[in-house]
Amino acid sequence: MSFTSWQYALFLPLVVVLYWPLPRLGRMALLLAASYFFYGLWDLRFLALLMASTGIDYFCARSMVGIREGRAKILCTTLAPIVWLGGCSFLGQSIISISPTSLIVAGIFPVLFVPMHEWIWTWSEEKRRRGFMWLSVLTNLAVLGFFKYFGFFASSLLNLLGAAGIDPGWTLPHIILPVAVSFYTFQSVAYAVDVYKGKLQPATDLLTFSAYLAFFPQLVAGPIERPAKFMPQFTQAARWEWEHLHAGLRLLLIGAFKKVFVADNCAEIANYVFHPDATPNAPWALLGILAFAFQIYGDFSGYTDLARGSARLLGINLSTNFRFPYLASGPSDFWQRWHITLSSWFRDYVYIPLGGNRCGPTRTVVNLWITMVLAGLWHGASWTFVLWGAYHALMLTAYRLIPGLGALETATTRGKRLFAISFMFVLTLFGWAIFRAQTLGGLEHWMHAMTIWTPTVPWFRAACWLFIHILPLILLQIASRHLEDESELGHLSWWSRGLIFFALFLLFASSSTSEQEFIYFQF
Amino acid sequence: MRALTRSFLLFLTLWLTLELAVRFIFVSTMEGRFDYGYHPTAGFQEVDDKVNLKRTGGRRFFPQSFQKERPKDVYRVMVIGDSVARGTSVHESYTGYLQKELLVAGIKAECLNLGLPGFGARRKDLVVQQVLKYQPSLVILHVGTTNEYEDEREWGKKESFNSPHPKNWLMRSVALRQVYGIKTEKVDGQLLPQEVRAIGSAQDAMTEQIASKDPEKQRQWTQFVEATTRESIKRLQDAGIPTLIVTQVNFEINAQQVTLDDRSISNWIGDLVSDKVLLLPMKSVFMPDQARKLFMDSAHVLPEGHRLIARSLASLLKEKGWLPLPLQK
Repeated sequence: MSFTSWQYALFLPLVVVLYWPLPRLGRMALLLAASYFFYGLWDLRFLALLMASTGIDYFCARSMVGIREGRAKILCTTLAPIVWLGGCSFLGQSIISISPTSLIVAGIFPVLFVPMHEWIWTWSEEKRRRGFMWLSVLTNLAVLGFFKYFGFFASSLLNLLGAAGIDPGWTLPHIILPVAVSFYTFQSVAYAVDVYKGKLQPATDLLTFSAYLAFFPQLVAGPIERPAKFMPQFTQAARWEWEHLHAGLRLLLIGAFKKVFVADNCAEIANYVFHPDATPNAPWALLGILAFAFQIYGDFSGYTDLARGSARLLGINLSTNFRFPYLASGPSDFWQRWHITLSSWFRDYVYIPLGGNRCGPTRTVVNLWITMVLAGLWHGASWTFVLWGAYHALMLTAYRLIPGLGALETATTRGKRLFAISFMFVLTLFGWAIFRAQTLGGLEHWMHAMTIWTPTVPWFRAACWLFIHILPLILLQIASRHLEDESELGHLSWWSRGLIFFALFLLFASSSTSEQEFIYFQF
Repeated sequence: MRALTRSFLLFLTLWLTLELAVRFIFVSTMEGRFDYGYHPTAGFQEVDDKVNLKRTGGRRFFPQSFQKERPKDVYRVMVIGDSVARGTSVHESYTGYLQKELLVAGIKAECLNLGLPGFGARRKDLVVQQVLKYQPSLVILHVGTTNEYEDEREWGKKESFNSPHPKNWLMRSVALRQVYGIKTEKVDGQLLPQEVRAIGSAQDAMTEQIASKDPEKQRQWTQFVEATTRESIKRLQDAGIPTLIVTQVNFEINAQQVTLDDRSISNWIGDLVSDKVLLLPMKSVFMPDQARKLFMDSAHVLPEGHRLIARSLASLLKEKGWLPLPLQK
């Protein structure tokens, strides 16, 4: 169920109407049911994975602070995945196929987890706390690693062996990537680490924690919330205010406009230029990458606004994820504006634990490269994402080591700042070419197109068309340029807001009949 | 904090105002929008005693005008067909060339091109029903089997859009429909190159290609074309309107061998011929060795091909004595 689908337009109001009259635990139960229903519409099978992750994180976090749950409760919780998969297998044979391997793994899960939990409890206190933290972190990373990266690394190894003339005769299994796995595993890791560090008290009940981890507005593509800010919104019942409705509807409208009008339309040009059969020349290659820059921004920031708007209607505040990213004056500034919750996650849970910039310039650069390559790989199991991460690491290194560039990023004079923003925008565009190409061959195809100046399909009208679809977004951003939240319009007069809402609504309606999936759902 | 803010009320007022304005001002151009060519009168705009053919409501007629009541001395020919009959313009279609042939012969002819791209038998029959109102002296019906996929697809869209399904609730607003129409037809249609749009519609083209290669589907479509064409002809005969059928031929090259294939239309179309129904197979107009120079693709004919069809039509009408007497010079 996509946020811009008619199904969601019925589902969300229904949940909101049922939610507010309920007491806190009732709300949690409703949120959990709604979130599992929302997630289950993509693939019922992977709810078992979410249940398993929920159980491990909940019990590990409780154990870290010395609360030992009863064995029966742990057993019942860890049996949930196999019961769910068994039920699906038994009742839904005609619509879904459950592989025997999945059933075996789900069956082994309680057999492994319950004794391990008991065993770690026999350790001394500090060792036990660390043991539960690592159990939670490693289990989440193992899930992510297996579903997202096993196929990629295994096929890369096969290719490497093939190049060396060795045929190991392996047949790789086809592994389906579960929707949202990159997001909820990162949120789980943050939860385990924060509880271990004492920044956060663990959830008091399993229901609240399950609703927290599966919260449907941000489950599929973030924002990746920090438990310390996010969890209290579940443990304390929000009070109804009209502001929730107003802010929620505003964010939903802005998000729908960004996704449907900007992103989905820009995708037409980007898809054409990056299509393997297309033969673009340099103007088209430039148009294509410009279109993709606004496609991915409109798509992901639109998704974030839709998620924030949905959550706000339920009285829950989600983090801002974008802050005018194309006004960044350098790569460091860019990552404080683009997918902020992911970059701050990598900063706090990878870069700083690696030593950050505290261990000398060489180590800082090494840490930067590790962090950025991992951030690239997080986006997808492909060498182009690794290359994209490395490209950003290279930019960060260059801006750090070359004095002129570093000064450019922090320039305050108008002319220099304008130049810095323009220069960074060009660098960002090249990064998007790596990101969008999907394969190294695709990147080569685009780079080759940049060298062709012979006329092909006339491009000027297409450039005008693209401009028509980008301009309203730019104007919207100008309206809120001095604010921290790029989707805030509260500082404008009521009639300006009314006109903007109406204009955005018309633009949304002008493109609303074709529904396309969000890019970040695949990550 | 109030439930309704002033900005929200302004938004609602603007929407309501636009809705009313569109309902009153653009009422004629709204006709048949989202009926995907299945609206009976869309594209025929009657203003006083004139009828304007317009691009609207799923009908993309070339803009033309004619008198609602046919003047007695005018020989009115209405050509109903798909993109092949439509051609690239009225003047370079066989409708335009036929008008020239008849005018040269001294006949006060008014030939109207009612060709619509992608229209199969079902939607052509709706146009036939509409033209009965305008007293044609002759209807030329272009019959082919290559558009049944589009007819089926557009029927599905029409049914889907006109259902009470929640996905259509937003577009119940005529103002939003108008905005959507302007965006897709004026902005996308005129600025976005065909090559770019083709990538987006590649899936649809693939579906059509797969369906076209399915012999069972082909058989069903041929039966459907036959049944619907029979109905159209009966309608015209009941109204006493002379009819001329032009049958489509497709140009194919197999192993350097050029063939002209009418997709089995000739097996049944002959049954419809009578003293009031003539037949001109395109296959009889072109020789296979000419075809390479006369077709722009497997179905569409270049202007020179249209000229040859028009010449054959004029000859056939003259030979059968269907043409009125030339005007006295």
